[in-house]
Amino acid sequence: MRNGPPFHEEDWQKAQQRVLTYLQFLNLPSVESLELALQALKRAIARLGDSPETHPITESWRALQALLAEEAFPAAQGPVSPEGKIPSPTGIHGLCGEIRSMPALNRGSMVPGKMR
Amino acid sequence: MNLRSFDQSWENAARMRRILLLALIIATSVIASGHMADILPHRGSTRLELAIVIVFATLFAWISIGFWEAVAGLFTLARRFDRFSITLGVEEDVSLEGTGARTAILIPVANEEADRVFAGIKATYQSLEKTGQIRHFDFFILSDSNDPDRWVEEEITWAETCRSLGAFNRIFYRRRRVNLKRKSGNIADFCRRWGKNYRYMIVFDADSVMAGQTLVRMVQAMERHPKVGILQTAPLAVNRETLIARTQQFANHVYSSMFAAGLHFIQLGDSHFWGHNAIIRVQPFMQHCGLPALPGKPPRGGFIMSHDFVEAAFIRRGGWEVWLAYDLGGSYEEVPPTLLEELKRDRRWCQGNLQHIRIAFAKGLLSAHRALFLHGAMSYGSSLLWFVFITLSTVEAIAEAFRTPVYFPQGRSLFPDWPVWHPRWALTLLGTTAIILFMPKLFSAILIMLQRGQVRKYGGYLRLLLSLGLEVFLSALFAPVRMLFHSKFVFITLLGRQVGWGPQQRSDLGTGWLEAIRFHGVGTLLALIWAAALFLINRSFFWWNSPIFIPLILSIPLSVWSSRASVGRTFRKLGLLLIPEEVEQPGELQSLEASLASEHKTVSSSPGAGGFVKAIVNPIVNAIHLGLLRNKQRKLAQAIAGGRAGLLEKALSQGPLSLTAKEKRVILYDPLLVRELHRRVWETPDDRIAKSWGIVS
Repeated sequence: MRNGPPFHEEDWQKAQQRVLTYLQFLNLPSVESLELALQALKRAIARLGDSPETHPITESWRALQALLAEEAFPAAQGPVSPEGKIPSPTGIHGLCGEIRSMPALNRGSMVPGKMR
Repeated sequence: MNLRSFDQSWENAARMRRILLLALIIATSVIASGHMADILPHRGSTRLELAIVIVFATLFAWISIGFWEAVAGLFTLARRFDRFSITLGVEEDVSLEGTGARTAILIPVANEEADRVFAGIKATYQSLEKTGQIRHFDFFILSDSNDPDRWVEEEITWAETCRSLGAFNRIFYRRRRVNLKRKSGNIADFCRRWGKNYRYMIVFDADSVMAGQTLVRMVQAMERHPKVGILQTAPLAVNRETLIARTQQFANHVYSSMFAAGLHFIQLGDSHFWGHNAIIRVQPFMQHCGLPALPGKPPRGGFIMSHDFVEAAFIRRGGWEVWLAYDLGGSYEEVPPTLLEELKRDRRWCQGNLQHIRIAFAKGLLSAHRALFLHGAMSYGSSLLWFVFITLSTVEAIAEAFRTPVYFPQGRSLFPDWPVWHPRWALTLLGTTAIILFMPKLFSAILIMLQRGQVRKYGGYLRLLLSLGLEVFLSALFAPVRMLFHSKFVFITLLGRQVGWGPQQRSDLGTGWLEAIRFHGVGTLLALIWAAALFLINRSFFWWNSPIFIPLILSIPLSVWSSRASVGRTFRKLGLLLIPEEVEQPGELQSLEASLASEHKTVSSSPGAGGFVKAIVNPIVNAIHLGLLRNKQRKLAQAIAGGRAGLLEKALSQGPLSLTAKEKRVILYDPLLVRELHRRVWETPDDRIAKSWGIVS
C-alpha cells in the first residue's frame, strides 16, 4: 500500500492514456470517449486525494468501469447500436445473455450402428 | 415419368448399366493384357513376366473404369435429357412455403481461418436471403478447434457476422470441448442436440460456398423424392491462384461434369456422399448413420476416418437412396493451394479409404457400396501397383541385359526361340493406354464446344485447347510425383502407422525451397539412382521411362514453382486455365471476395494480437467470450483452484508468451480467470506487464 506524497504528473498521464486506450477498444464516438475519460480521471483524483492507497492507473480504470456500468447506454440502444457498433462490455454481456449462440436443446438419440 | 415408375425403374436400369460397364472393363483389360504379354521378351511365360501382366491387367482395368464412365457421361450430357436426373421437375424459382421443411446448414470447422470460413457463410447467407426463403434455414458453425487463438477468433467473427447480417438466432455457434470422432462425431453431436428440429441438414466444408437458389432447389428435390436420404451435389473448384490449384480448378470444370454424369449413369440411387455440399434427411441419418468404432487399433481399426462413404452405405442399407445431383450448379469448394498440401490431404484420405476395405465386407451393405469402398481404396492402391509395375519392369529390363539368351529352351529342336522385341506392338499398347487416359479429356472439350456460349467462358476456342494441352502436360508431370507419395502412404498405412488430422492450409501461401527439399529430396535421389542405373544397363528402357523419372528428378522445383500464386496469375493474364467463374463471377463468389477484402474493424481490431490475447485484453472480445462460456461456475477442488491461481499469477507476471496452448485453454474455459485476468491486466501500473499483453500507455 502506498503512503506519502501525491502521484507525479507522469503517473496521471499514463492513467489518462490507459483509460483512453480502453475506450478506444469500445469503439465509442470520440467526444463521448473523452467525456468518459475526463469523468473517470476526476473520480480517480478525488478518491486518491482522500486515501492514496492505489495507483492512478488502477483507480482510473476502476472509476471508468463504474462509469460504464452507471451510464448503461448499451441497454438503451439494444445489443447492436444503429451505427453497427457493439458498444460496451456491459452491452455485450447482456447481448450474449439474451441472444445465445445456440438454440435450446431438443435431444434425440443417434446410436452407433452394428457392423459384423 | 411419375414418381412411382421412377422408383421402380431406376434399380433395373442401374443393374443393366453396371453389368454392361463390367463387361466393357473386362473386355478391354483382357485385350490390352494380351498385348502386354505379347510384347514381353518371353511372352509372359516367366514368373516375372506373369507378375508384370497381372499387375498391368489390374491397372488397365482401373483406368478403363474412368474411360467407360466418361463415355457414359458423354452419352448422358450429349442427349440433353436424363429421365433419372434427380432434379428433373424441380423449378428454378421455387418456394418452400407450406412444406414445413426446416433445414440446418452445418459448417464443421477445426482450427480453420475464421475470416475465410465466415466470409463463405456470409456469402451463402446473403445469397439465400435473396431467394426470400431464408426463414426456412438456420446455420450452425460446429467447431472442434482446440487452438486457443483460433477458438477466440471464431467467436469474434461469429459475433461480427451475426451483427453485420442481423442474423443472431439464425447463425449459431457451438464449440465442442471433446472432439470425439472428429467431423462425423461433430455432426452426430449436432443431430443429438438439435437434429429433431430439422427435416434436412446441408453439410458444408470449411471452404464451401453455395448459391441460395441451389440450396432451395436441393430442399425441393428432397421434398419431391421422399425416399432420398442423401443428395450430393458436384462442387466446382474455385478461387485459387497458384498454378497447381488453377490447373486442378480447370480440370475440375472441364472434366468433372462429364465424369459426374457418368457416375450418375452407373450409380443412380446408390451414389456417393463426399462429406460436404450435400443435403441429408436428418431422421434416417440419425437412425442409420451412427458410426461404430472398428475393432483394433488405428489406422486399420478405431474410429472411422473417411466417414462420408460409410454414411452413404449405411443410409442405403437402411433403405434410403443416395443420389448425385450432377446437373445442379451453384455449389463451390476450394482445392489445396500447393502440391504439398494436396499430398498431406491425400495421406489422410488414403488412410481413411484403406480402412474402408474392412467395412466393404460388413454384413447387410449393398454390393454397389461395397464396390465403392474397393474403388476408393484402389484410388490410392493403384499408385502402389503402378510403383510395383515399374519396379518389376525395371528388374525385367536389367535381367534381360545380363541374361544369356536361351535359343532352345525345350532342348533339341529344329527352330530356335528368338527373344523378339516388337516396338510397334509396344507403341500400339502405349497408344491404346493413352487413348483410355486422354480421350475423356477430349470428350469434355467437345461437350463444351457443343454448348452455346460455353467456350467463351474458357477464353475462346484457342485458349481452351491450349489450356487443355497445358493441363495434360502438367498432370503428366505431377503424376509420377503423386504416384510415389501415394505408394508411400499406402505402404505406411499397411504397416500400421497413423497420421495426424491437422487443419488444411487454405490460403495461397507458396511452398518454400527447404520444405520442398524435405518432402521431395528422397524421391529425387531415388529417381536419379534409377535413371542412372537404366542409362548404364539398358539404354532403350531408359528412354521409355524418361517421362517418369524426369518429373521425379525435377519434383523440388516443380513443387515450389507450381505453388506460386504469381505464376498462376501470369497464366490467368494470358487467358490460360481459365474457368467460367473467373470470366463471369457469380454473386456468391463476388460477395466472398468482398468480405475477404474488407477491413476488419470493430471487435476484432487488435492488430497483431492472437485470439487468446484479444479475449483477455479487448473488452468486447472478453465480453463475447464470457457470454459464450457456460455461466455456471463449478466449485473446484482445492488443488485445482490452487493450480489455477498459480496460472493466473504466471500469466500476469510472465505474459501470454509464457503460456502453453493447454494453459491458455484452461484459462479460456474458466470465466473467473478470464474476468480476473482482464481486470488485472488493465489495472496494473506495471508497464512491463501491460506491454507484455499489448497495452501501451
